[in-house]
Amino acid sequence: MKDETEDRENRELPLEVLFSRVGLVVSGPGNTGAFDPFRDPVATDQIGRELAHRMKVLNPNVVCVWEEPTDMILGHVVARELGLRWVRCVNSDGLAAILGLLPRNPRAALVSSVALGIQTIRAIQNLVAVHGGALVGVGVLVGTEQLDEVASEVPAVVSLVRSAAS
Amino acid sequence: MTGIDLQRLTRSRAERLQELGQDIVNAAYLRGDFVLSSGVRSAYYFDKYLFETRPSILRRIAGYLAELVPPNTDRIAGPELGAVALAASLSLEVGLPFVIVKREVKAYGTAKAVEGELHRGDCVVVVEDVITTGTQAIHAARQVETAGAHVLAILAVIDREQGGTEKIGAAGYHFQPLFRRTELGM
Repeated sequence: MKDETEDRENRELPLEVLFSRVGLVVSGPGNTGAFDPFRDPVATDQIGRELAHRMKVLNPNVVCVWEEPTDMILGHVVARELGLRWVRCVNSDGLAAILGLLPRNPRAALVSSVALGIQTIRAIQNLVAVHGGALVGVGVLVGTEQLDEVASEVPAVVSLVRSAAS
Repeated sequence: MTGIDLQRLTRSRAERLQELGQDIVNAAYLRGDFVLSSGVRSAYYFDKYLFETRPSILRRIAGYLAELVPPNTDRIAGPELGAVALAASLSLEVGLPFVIVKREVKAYGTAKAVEGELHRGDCVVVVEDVITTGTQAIHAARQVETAGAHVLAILAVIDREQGGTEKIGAAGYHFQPLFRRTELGM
């Protein structure tokens, strides 16, 4: 079992080090790797807290994630830190759907480990709009060129680090 | 009374195809406020399962799709889940084996993108149910190619006419739907 000292030391580690502990590589060219929160729950928790901190400016009242179980873990941490509930958006055989309960007049913040494609962003925007709300922003771990392409479609984009590849 | 519908037997191919289209609409056309996985918000949705699970419709679809299968085809491919029934029925119709293309490759189980027997160099026809933007169909075709096969064509039952034809064409594939949305009176 890790003691408090070790936990505190983890919190003080640079993001790049925390990222490397969950499979993400951002210092070199090429692939940024795949977010694997199972490799280091403590690093995952710290990364999620940091992302939540930076997403406060979006002033969401619900956090949403798209499909991926790994992003559900990240979304859980972010929602916990922001004191919000979170929902999961899925592709159900061609129909986009929300699993979970949205609040009234949802102001949804999308949390994702990687930059999602524009079609997925639009699906989430429209899902929230159907419920009378709006997507207020996107929080991702690694900013990439793909994220730049969708940035004009959403009110705000928050990323923890910028990929050296982009 | 012979019990045989002579009028039906003498209908032209175009009339029978039109009748099939109407049966598909009656079975699967839903009105509402839908968000498609392509991101498109739509006032209607074709619930593919409602027409793919009816043998009287599925059999006729397979018959018409069979006419579009090039003679040098080795195998049919159907992306999971909806198009698997189509691929199976088309496979029975043309007497060719089929494979199932996974929507996403899992890191566990067989970890395969294409389930079934597929050989390098095989000529494959990908069959889809409903095409919106074409992204899923293109993804399936790419998976087949990654496995070393050639994609001769992408066939579909319905083209919603929301950019799918153009996108599939731009991706380098021949695309042929049985019905376009406007042909169904939508």
